[in-house]
Amino acid sequence: MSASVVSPPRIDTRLNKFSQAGVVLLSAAAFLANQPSIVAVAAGVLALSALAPAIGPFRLLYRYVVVPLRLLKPRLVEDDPAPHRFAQGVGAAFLTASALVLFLTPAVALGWALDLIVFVLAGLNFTVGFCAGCFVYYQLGKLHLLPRVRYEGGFHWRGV
Amino acid sequence: MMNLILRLGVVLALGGLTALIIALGRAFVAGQHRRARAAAPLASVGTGPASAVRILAFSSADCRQCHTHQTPALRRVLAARPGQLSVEEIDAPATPDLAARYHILTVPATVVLDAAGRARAVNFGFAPTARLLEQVDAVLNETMAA
Repeated sequence: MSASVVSPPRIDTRLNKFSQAGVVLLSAAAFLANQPSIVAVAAGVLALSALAPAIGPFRLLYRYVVVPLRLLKPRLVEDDPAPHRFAQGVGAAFLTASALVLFLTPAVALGWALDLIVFVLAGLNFTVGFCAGCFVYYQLGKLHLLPRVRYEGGFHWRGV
Repeated sequence: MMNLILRLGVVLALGGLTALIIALGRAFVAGQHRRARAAAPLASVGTGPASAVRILAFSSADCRQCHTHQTPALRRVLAARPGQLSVEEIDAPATPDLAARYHILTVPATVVLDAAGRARAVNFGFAPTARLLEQVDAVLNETMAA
């Protein structure tokens, strides 16, 4: 990221809500149907969204199906996309761990607990907009463990 | 079948627990809001005559929304009621006593004070121009009526 960014970073909150709803449904469906494979799929989807947002399955579905069908209208707001990507990465890590535990170990309860943590946190973000992963991101930024965004008159990014 | 009902129960219980936590969180914030409005009057810090309305705008260096949204909104409020109010920018992390006085939980936060320094409205989080104007006008109308 260069020193100055002319236009402020924006995120599409509708896309975020859509992804959160998708994660809630996938993680709940996996548990209800007792299907670790659905957890693995959800983990893959979230990992792609975090590592390569441009080809995130939720984003593609949203952009090429949901928006053209006018099921949702994009709503861009000024926000930093980095914490949200980080949160998706954390979700992907939990779901990957969940799938590994469910497939490779007999610790079924632990595996489903990891899946249900993602279910609750994605649900919390979907309903009241509290993003637990972003909260962790900001706290790590305060501890100087992650790049932190600082506003200094113009849009200058520090450490990114 | 039994298994599915059990799992459905777990999902519903988790949903209920989350809803309970959200309700408790909202009650806590509402309590902080009440206590902030009950804070003792704040004397004017400036030298000139105190404005009819003062807005304390809590912010911090890291707060993106404060600078991109709250500051422009406050500027619009100032422009809409020229000469009738003043805005004091406050760096919340650097002013913990003032932040504690108004139970500031987040930035941006805005406190609307009347001429006597009493907190008349408190906003945790971004306060749009229209809401701030409403709060300012409520104080101004009362001052004119008195």
